[in-house]
Amino acid sequence: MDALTHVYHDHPKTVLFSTAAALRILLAVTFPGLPDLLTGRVEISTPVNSFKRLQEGLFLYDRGLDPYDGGIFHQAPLLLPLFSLLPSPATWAGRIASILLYTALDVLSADCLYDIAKSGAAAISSLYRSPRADRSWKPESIIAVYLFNPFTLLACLGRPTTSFTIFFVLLSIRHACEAKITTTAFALAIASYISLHPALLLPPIGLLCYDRLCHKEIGANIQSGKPGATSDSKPSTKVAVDQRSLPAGLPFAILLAVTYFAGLAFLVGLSRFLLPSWNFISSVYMTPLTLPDLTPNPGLWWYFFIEMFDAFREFFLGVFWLHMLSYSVPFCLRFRKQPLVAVVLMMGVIAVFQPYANVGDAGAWLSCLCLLGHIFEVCSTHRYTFPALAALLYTSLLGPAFHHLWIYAGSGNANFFYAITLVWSLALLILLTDMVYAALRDEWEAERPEGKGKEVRQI
Amino acid sequence: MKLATLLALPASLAATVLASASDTYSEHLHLKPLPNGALYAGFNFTASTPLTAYESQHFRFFPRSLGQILQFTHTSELHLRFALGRWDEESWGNRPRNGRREGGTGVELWAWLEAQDQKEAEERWSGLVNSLSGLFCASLNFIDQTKTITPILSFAPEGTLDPEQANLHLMHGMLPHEVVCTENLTPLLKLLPCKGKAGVSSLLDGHKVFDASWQTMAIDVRPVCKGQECELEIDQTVDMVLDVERSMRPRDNPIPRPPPVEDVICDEAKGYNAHDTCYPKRREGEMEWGLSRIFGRPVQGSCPAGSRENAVDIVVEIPQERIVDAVPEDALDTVSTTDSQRSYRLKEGQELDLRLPHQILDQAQEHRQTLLHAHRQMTGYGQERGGMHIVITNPHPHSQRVVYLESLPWFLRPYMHTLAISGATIENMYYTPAIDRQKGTQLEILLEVPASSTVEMTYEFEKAILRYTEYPPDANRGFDIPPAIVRILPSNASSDDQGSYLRTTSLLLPLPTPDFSMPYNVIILTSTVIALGFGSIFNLLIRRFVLVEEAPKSPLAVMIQNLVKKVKGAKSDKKVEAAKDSSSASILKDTPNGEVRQRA
Repeated sequence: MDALTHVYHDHPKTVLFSTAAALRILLAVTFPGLPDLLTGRVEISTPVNSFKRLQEGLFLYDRGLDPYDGGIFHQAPLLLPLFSLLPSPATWAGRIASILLYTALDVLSADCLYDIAKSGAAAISSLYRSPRADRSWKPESIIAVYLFNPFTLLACLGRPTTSFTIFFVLLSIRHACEAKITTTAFALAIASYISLHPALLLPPIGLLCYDRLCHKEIGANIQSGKPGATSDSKPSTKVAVDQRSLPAGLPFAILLAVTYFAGLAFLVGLSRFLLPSWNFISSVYMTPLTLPDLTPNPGLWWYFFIEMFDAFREFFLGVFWLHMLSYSVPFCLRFRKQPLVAVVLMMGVIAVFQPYANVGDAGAWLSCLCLLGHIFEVCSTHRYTFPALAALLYTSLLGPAFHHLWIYAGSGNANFFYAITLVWSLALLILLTDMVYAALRDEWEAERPEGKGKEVRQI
Repeated sequence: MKLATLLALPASLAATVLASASDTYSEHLHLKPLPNGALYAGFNFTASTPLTAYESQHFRFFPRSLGQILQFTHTSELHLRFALGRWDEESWGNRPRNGRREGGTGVELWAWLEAQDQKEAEERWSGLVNSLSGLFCASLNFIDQTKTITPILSFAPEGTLDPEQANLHLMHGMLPHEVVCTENLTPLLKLLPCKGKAGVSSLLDGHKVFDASWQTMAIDVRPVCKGQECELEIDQTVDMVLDVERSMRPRDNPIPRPPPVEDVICDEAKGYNAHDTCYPKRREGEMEWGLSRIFGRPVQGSCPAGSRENAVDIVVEIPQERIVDAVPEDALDTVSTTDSQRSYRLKEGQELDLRLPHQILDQAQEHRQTLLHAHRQMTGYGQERGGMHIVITNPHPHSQRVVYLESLPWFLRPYMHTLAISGATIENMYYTPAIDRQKGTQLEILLEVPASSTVEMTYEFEKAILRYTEYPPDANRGFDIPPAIVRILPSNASSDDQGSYLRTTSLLLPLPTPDFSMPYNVIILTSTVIALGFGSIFNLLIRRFVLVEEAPKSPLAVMIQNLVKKVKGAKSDKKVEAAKDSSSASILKDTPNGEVRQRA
């Protein structure tokens, strides 16, 4: 035991990664039917990320047919050559190979998360230092939450292609924390190429990247200005930072946008090169926009658009998309001092409100929330975090049961599952608002330290 | 009467002059008793007209109403089928006419249309189905883009058409949900020259035809060229298998009732036979039946249309020893008699009834072997996903090449990567995947079924959930899946034979259903959750924090506080007269509320 703790203290990352990978492979090996069972679950696989539909697309692609000339496959074209390298998942070896691939993805995502946490971007930015910065979670704890989160585990075994999106989003955030403009934009371009909605993360991630650039600049200035500066010279006390020495905003934004769109154009062009026609554009990117496939999922859209009157369908699709669009910029404006908070909150908005929601995205977001661990105490004292977490727990238990009652037992109707998805979304939303409150309160308490722990009003 | 004849004369003369060369019409009735008290009756009416007469709009035996539709939609060859029931291969043997005049349950239509491109062909096809829908009182207009397929291997034109010709487009559509009934038979009879008033068609009565165990009606139009001369042929077929006993129920007493105990012949050899229990004895020998008892009316003489020389109207396929009585005896000419069948010609204007008495023949029933058996079932349970299981059995000692065609609606999503075939190899496969609300799946597989073997095909599918307006009123009944079509290719490639066809039964697909009663509730509840999220997030985003003590008091609270102060002051003064209370009463009324609010 002592030896184990010793090893953990020496190499925490290695221990966590290998335990997580071993757990995933062990689960897949001991329960050979589990991956396919989870692939069939509506909570994990949606029409735009299902592993089974990917197999169907591969089947058509391998035979030289256009996989997008059909209503089943709606996933990004570049996944096809990648997965055609793997052996067929119908066989034992193929199943293990796919599980290994997704385990690797999870581990890489966790690695990104580790670096994000390590950079300290959550609590300290160029303009702001949280009064609770010293209460941030350890990076090891954050990746442990990510790797052993049951939702992440289920998603890894269910193998939805949104795992790739999650990885590239985290990669993009990591590069943003390291203030690497080009790679940030390119990773985000890949993520939005795989599934459309990460495009909404462009403003907050851009802001984060710019902020880290400034942070680095200020750090360098302080270093050069005061060679003997001690570590306690806080960047937040930079009253007299020379604005001219900061990197210019406009060229930065242009560079980011140009790289992003060039990356997207490159990926789309590459896809066209692999495929016989442009059909894939409408199949991949119009499906989440127009929602032709109403297969149940834990999101808010499917039942709404089943029950929608035909005359109003287009109108409400527009309203729903405008609603999702409406968060990105306000978050950036309000959280310009804490850009990583804006990014994490925007990921939450996407996880809750995206048309084909799935628990994999929600699980990844819940784990990312731990990046903001230093402000948890604010929401737990002032807000409804406990009821929300309890609701999450009971919906994740009752959801599959009610789905079974509706689809298989026939003793319940669609409203059973619909009600559970509503509660699930509501619980996630409450968590999201709690985090908004906590981040804002934290920012306010930095200005008004005397207000800590007191009743406040909003005006 | 005379005037009418005189007026009709020029028209009939012109018609004879123009078209007498090859305008022909013939009709047949084929009767054949089948095992287990069933009777096969196949009606066939063939008319033809020279293509030149057709193009110049001269119609004699060819129905004008149909001809004009075909001309307008540029249809070169047409096949229309209405079918009901199931052909019981195991007891009835091979299908009549090699299954080529048979349709899948419901309505089936396929045609070769002339068009410059696919778009024009689709427009003409839509025109064709809509016009035919009106002509045959069937919902053919529901054959839209999602139900139309273009099979490649399954169909070959019967007429002299070149299928390789670029401007010919084959379109195929099926409506398995359509219930075929009397309103479809009447238009079919109206196309005949004798309109069902005379000839063998006078036997066709909706009550009896649709009481059959299996019934199919077909209309086939095809151009036939012999050298330079081309003619257009229309072939109308009504095939049915009647349950003799059921059909012979008297019309005034159509409800089947158990026969009186005295009439039941008991099998006394059975152990449990007693005075109050009876095991009915199996009927022995050939059943007694007659045309008018089965069809409810006698034949109303022959149809005088077309050439009557060498005409054969009725063919009865029975062993030589079987007795056939014609009533009256002189209403019928016997054309030929062979070991297995007798052919008769009707006389004009004379009613005729055929009667076959009960007979015990010593000849054993021959064993009927079919070309191929094909069955299709759905596997799995629940409304989320399922599987298709197809079994094709070849009972013959030689291998057979088979084309299996399936046309699936878009809301059944097959996963072709799960397709597994055991017992045979795929020679060729054409697969067009479905697109939601735009087109259905088309699956065509060319197989070689080895001798005396069984081929099994399975694939998995997913059941889509639809918008609530897309469900029919009886949503929980399920959706009909059209039958699969199996074409058995002729054994030697050189012959221009069509091969024979068989169709599986249609399937019922249960889809998950939403709750139809609460669109408003769903809209309201979902919108509430979204508004809750949006509202609370933006409420936090756009306002700023202050300490409770610093928060400015609301004007209303300030006003009420002032009032309370005033009242308290007035009370402590005790100088207020009771007479003045008219104004302070309202203040007093307000105070309790004011206090509550303050505390809150």
